[in-house]
Amino acid sequence: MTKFDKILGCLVGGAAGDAMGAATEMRTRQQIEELFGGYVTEFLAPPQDTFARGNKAGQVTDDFSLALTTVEKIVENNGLINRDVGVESLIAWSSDDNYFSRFAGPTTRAAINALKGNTVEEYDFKVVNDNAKASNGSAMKISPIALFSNGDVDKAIEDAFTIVTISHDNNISISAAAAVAAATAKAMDVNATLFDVVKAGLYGAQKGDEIGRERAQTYAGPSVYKRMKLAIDIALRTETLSEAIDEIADYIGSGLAAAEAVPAVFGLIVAAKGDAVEAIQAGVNIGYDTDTVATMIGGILGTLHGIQAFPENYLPLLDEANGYDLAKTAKDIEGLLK
Amino acid sequence: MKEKVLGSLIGAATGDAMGAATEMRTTQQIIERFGGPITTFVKPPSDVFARGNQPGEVTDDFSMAYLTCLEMLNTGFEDYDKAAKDALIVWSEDERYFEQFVGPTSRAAIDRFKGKKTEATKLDWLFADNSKATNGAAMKMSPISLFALGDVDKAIDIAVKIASVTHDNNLSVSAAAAVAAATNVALHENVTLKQIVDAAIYGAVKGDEIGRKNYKTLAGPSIVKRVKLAISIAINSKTKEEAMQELSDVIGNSAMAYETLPIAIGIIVACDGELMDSIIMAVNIGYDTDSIATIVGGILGAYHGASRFPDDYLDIINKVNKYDLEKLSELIVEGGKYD
Repeated sequence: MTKFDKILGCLVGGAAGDAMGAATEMRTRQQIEELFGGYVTEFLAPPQDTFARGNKAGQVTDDFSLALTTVEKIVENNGLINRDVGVESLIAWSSDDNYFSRFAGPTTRAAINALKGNTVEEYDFKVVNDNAKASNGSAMKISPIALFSNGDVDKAIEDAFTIVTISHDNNISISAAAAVAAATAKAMDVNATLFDVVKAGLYGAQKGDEIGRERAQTYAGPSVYKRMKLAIDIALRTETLSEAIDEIADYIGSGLAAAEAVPAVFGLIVAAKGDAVEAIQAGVNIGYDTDTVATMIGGILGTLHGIQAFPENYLPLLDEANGYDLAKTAKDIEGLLK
Repeated sequence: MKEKVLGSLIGAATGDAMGAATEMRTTQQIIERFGGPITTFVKPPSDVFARGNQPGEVTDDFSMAYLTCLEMLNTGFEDYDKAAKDALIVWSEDERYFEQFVGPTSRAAIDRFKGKKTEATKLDWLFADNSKATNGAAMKMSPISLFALGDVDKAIDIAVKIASVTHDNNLSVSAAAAVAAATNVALHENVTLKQIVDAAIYGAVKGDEIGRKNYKTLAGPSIVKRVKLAISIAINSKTKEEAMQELSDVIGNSAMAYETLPIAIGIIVACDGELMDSIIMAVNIGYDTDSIATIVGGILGAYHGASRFPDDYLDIINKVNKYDLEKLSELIVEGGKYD
């Protein structure tokens, strides 16, 4: 497996998780089964009562589109990741109305509005901690950005901090993003095993929380790190993937909160024994914020196993549906790795 | 019975008023800001929702409960739905509370009763708005459920009917029913802590069941499983400090029903059901401290009774909030209108 295979695997995995999860978002696992007649394993057109209504099968939402816009801006910036390129990415992404008005999550939306000078004060006083902003909008987009680290886990964590603090300036969102970034960076190593990737994720969560507390806001909320350990523990002690999905949904949750979605990602990765497609499908069917969970799973395991992990039709289908050329983007990223 | 009913009222009001000062902060930030844990009524700082409140003044949690109790007395229990709606309207017109404290789910419900199209009702086209699985029903349910006078199934019925007016989803209803069931078992004489905790689980199971059948089923963690996890964390921690940290890190202390209710039960178990220890742990555990402490105080106040609170609490609460909790407790037990 070449580095290019891994990079392309990350992009295809992320896009596939997002597009497949777009149809199932907000429902419970049981409601997904009822609506679609079973466990979803294909790209489907999202129903009219979800955020992605109007999307075609294979079309992505905010998760992957924001990641890809950021990757493109970093490429234009010769691979250099700094705050300016992050700001530029958010502004560029928000000018595409196909995504911003339909999909932008509450924290990203507030940050973009503030960057544009349209600050809408949610409170008429300065509240000590805006804890509801400890959301997963940081981690959802970080996997492809972590590819620029070329396997340097600490650089991936630092880059994640730089990019996500523009919108998610708190220890919990940073911890979650650093976990996904570190796992993705580790997965670029050709000798990396699933165990190494999960360990890197746990390291990233701790490190991200630490630098978040030092250099950003500390918010009240659960520990991403401890919930990751619990999710992994659940994955190891359940008998089947199906049982693990239910237990993770019930104990950890799979919602918008960074301390739900990211621990769920690591639990499902372990429960699926690292199989990229099975883990993505687990994310798609776990319920609630399925597209975000599946995007992160696809990014991490796509990197670990490379483009070969996916059915051959995924790449052309995703390119077609979204007007992408993911192989070219992967080449651009590869060309900038040192 | 009257002494236990009054205990629940004092406990809920105490938790709310004490937690009003610590809300939104982490435990560490509370200690830094106040020079140590909060163990009494203090004036909330200017960077929290309760800014401007006096020491001992309640927020949305207890004030909504109080007004709902009054409306229930006035409507004579035939129409819980009407009592809940009337209480919300009265509450929303009280400038002391509405704009300062209203939570997102209650706001959406009130807007809907008033026929207002607002931000809060904008997502009505969505299959399910999972972010509405909040604690706004559970937080006010201890005092309201006292009308069941110890009848657990009646308490669950009251909880379901009142909760569904604003929080018509299985998760919020499950948490509300858990609070109602635990509070009502706690009203019994010679009850054990184990029976109270079992009642919370029974209520959570029942509430989830009824919620799934009659209202919206939202995606989110299981209240029942998280209560069990919280109990296991409480039992397995070596010290109270460790339990507090683990509960806050693993269960969470936000306004989501599946964090608030499980952590409240976990706190009660971690503190062996001790009245003030439990309320103080809830007040200092961080984030939605006032709602967590309101629930803890409502349940354990019923368990221990009014006489177990420091002598001045009832007077402070009555005076600062212009309440007469003693009279309310009498009316709850004996019936009659509040005027």
